[in-house]
Formats: sequence, structure tokens, C-alpha cells
Amino acid sequence: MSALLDVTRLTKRFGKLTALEDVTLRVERGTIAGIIGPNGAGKSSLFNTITGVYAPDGGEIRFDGARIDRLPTWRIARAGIARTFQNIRLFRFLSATENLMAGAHAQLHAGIVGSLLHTPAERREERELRDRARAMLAFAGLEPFAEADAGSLPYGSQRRLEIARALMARPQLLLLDEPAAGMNPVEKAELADWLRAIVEGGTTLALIEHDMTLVMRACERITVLDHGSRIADGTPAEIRADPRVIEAYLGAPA
Amino acid sequence: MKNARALGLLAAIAILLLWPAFGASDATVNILADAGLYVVLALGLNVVVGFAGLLDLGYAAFFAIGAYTYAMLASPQFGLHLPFWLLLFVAAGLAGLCGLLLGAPTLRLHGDYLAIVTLGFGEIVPQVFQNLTKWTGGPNGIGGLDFPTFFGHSFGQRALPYYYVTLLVIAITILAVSNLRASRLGRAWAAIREDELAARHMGIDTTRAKLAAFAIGASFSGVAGVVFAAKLSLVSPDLFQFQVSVLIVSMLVLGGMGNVYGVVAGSLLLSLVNSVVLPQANGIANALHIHVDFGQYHFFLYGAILIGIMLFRPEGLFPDRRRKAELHHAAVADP
Repeated sequence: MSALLDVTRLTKRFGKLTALEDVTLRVERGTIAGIIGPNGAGKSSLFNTITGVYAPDGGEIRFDGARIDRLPTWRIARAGIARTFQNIRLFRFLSATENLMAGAHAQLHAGIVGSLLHTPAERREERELRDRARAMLAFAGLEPFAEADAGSLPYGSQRRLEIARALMARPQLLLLDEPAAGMNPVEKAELADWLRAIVEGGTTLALIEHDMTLVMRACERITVLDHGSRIADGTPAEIRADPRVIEAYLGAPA
Repeated sequence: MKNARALGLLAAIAILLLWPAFGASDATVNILADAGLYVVLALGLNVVVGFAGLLDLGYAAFFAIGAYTYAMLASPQFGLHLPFWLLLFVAAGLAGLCGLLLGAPTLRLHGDYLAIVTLGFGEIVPQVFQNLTKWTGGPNGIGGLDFPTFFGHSFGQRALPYYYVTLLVIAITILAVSNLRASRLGRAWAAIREDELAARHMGIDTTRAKLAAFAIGASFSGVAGVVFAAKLSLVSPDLFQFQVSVLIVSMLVLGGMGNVYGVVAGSLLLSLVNSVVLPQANGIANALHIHVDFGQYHFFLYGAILIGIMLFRPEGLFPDRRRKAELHHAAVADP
């Protein structure tokens, strides 16, 4: 069986700057994949290219067996890839519940007529959506914030809400860009448990993360990027022992 | 609580329906019927500007398209006399289509750029009606439009039937836009307004959602145009100039963009200032032997109102919660 996400020799340039060069990445179903590397290594560019924000200059991206590297972002999202952002991008002035409901957009069927007339089918759909949003708030531990503006939530809760919003789309693959950034150790530990629960719920995860404890604990496989290229790929134990990785992070031995 | 609201609403409807029966003059009813059309226009523009966040400065063009639809299809101009009630729907469809035509090439544009292109569109449409002399009567327009009929009774020249039709259109418009706001499409618009990139990552086809806003907004304007033309029994290009678009935008800004009832209040307030307060001011000035025509100063007035609102209450008199927060956040973010 093929991998859920199969990125082959992906290249992305911005003028003379090469953000990604021949990057290959495989994410197997039901696993957590980690992507690490120093600042500017191309990690976020990789996510942005996978989700169609940037058009690749070379290589191909297959998701669930089908090419997605020429699709617009909204189609890639509908194909089953959801994501969060390095700088949280919630709809700040919508309530937490409304954010979750917006996250389920692609799951709904109401068209213009249904929206204008509030047809019985539309009402039923909205009612079910509210129930799902309520359940998701509970799953994310965010019930107290149901009606609060998303932008007013504490930082760690905003990160959780963004993940919850992505989950509302019932994605097959969820890309998390530094989910633990700015969290304290307690929140990080909770996050690691929660990510485990998400995977057990059937969603595959790929995460960019700087917190090595979290990455080593949570991920089955780790890919290391440096200067836009993949320099290592393997299990946490292999990565920890890899001299190139140590060099990338700590500089060349004197 | 819910009962109290329903009761209040019923009372308001009863007053709106019954007051003309208590000795109101035709002129008074006429003023309110006109004000009512502006309520419809403002509610329609609110879908585009308030909900979807797309600044449209040429909205009067769709009003013109609706009005000319009626003028050409229900008058001696071509000898066509299609029924008013049918043309309400035809004009909604045509104006919506023109909304799509305007929207399709301009959707890549944001903010000021979009505003300028829509402004151009608003200038072009009356120009086209003016120059297609053969069909539209050129600068003189088309006169002698059919009076609408209701089960065989002609509306005639009295304002009252138009007042009731306008009330009906307002009711339907309020219902429709309130539904939209609390729907999948309304949420998609709010998401696009706040963060277009994130919206796309939710699987929202942002192009389609924006086109829907343009088309839906335009169709309300088309309906208002039909009622307007039938009531006046005349259309001409100068009725749909830029100042009409500016007036409607001013109504949104004054009342509170995004909020349906704020928009209703803003549009009523501003159109009554135009049709009641300014003429009254003229009368007072004349009595004091001051020779000023305040009617000439309405543009000055809109300008003053816009500046005042921007300085003291950028969210409008009756703001929408979300829009208020967005505006205040923007004010903090831009040093």
C-alpha cells in the first residue's frame, strides 16, 4: 500500500533563493511524522508548497495516490489535507465555535439557495454542525471559551483551537506547523497526549517542531531539512545518532 | 424574552402597515416609500461590503439595470408590457448576472483597487444607457412606464401601493440577508474578510464565495430599480449617477456595516435628512431672508457625516460586533 503523502524531489525557488531542493518525504497512514531543521531550513515552505500556497518548480506531490501539486489550495484542503500555521491564523473576531464551524466548510452541502432560505435540510445540517462543534470543543478542552472571540483566548488555547478547527474538516492528513511553540512544559505534555489521541482517531499527522523532547517522544519517523535539502530521514534513534544532523544543529566540529 | 421580541416585531409591522390609513398625505407616504427603497439598496450593498468585505463604489449601476429592465419591458418603448411582478424576478436575475460579470475580472483586486474598478463600472453603466439612444431614449430616458397592477387594480400615481410593495421587498430582503449571515456562505464571507489564506485552507472556494456576494448584492439592487422605475414612471441616466452609490455607502458607514438593523437605521436616517430635513432647513432659511439652497449641500453633508463617523465612531451608530472588533483592531495595528 502506498504512503498517504508522497513528496518526490520537490523543488521551490524564490528568485535566486532555493527554498526547497529535491526534497523527498513519505508519510505513512496512521503515523506521526516529524520535520525538523534549523531556522530557514525550508520547513514552512514545504508545508506551503504541499498545500498549494506556492506552486512547486519541480518534483511531484501525491496524496492518497493522486497528484495534487497543481491544485489550488481550497481543492487540496477538500482532498483531505488540513493544517495549522506557524503564526496562528484563527479568525480572531469570530467566536471559538464559529471558527470550528468555518473549519467544517468543506463537509457541508448548503448552497446559495439553502443559505438564503434556510431550507429544512440546511437547518438540520447547521444543527448537526453545532453539535459537532460542541463535541470538538470538549475534545480540545476548550469548552469554557465556546462563545469567546478566538483572538481573546490564552496563547496555548489558541494553538489548540487552531488544531481543533483543522480537525473539523475530518482530514486524512493534518499538517501542524510548530504546534508547541510558546507552550509551557505542562501544556506541551498535554499536547503530546492529545496528538496521540488524534492519531488514534484515524488522522495522520505531520508536524514541524523545534521542541526535541516532543518530537522524539511523539514521532515514528523524522525528516531533517537544512538549507532546503533533506539531510536525514529515519527513526528518532537514528536521527539522534546521525552526525550530519548534529553538525547542522551544532555546527561543524572544530 | 422571545415572546416579547415577537410581540414588538408584530407591533412594528402593524404600525408600518396601518399608519397611512390615519390621514397621512400622499406626499408623506411618498417620502417613506422612497426612503424604503434606499433601505433595500443599503441592505443589498451590505452583503457585498459588510458581509464579504468587498468595497463596491458602483452599486448604483445595478439599480440602473433594474430600472431600465422595467422601462424597456413594460412601456410603449418597444410595445412590451410584461407584468411588474414578473419583472421583479427578471431584474433580480439580470442584475445578479451583471454582478457576476463585474465580479469575475475584478476578484484578484483588493481594497482600493477593487473600489476604483467598481467606481468605473458605476460610471460606465449610465453612460451606456445614455448612448444607446435607439433602445434607451438616450439622455431623455424612457417615460410613460406601465403602472403595475395587482389582481386587475392599477397602482396608478398614488404613493400608497408602492409603499406597500416596498415594505414587502424590505421584509423579504431582511429575511434573506439575516439568513445569509447565519449560514455556511455567511461564515465563509466572514472567514474571507478576516483571513483569506486561512479561509482557503478550510476548503473555501474564495472566488466563488466573492462572486456569490456580488451577484446576490446586485440582485437586491435590481429589484429596487424595478420598483423605483415603476413608481416614477420614468427612467433617465442622470438618476443613477455616482452620487447615488456614494449615498448608499454613506448609509452603511453611518448605520454600521455588517449589522442588518444598523444598516436599516442608517439608510432611513440619511434618506430622511435628504427628503425632509434639508427642505425644512431651506424653508427656515428663506423665512429668515437667508438665501441658501441646502438641497445643494447634500454632498457636503455626506462628507461631513463620513468624516465625523470616522473620527468618533468608525464602526457606525449601530455596529456589528465582529466588524467593530475588526475596525478597532485595525486602528491599533496601523500606527
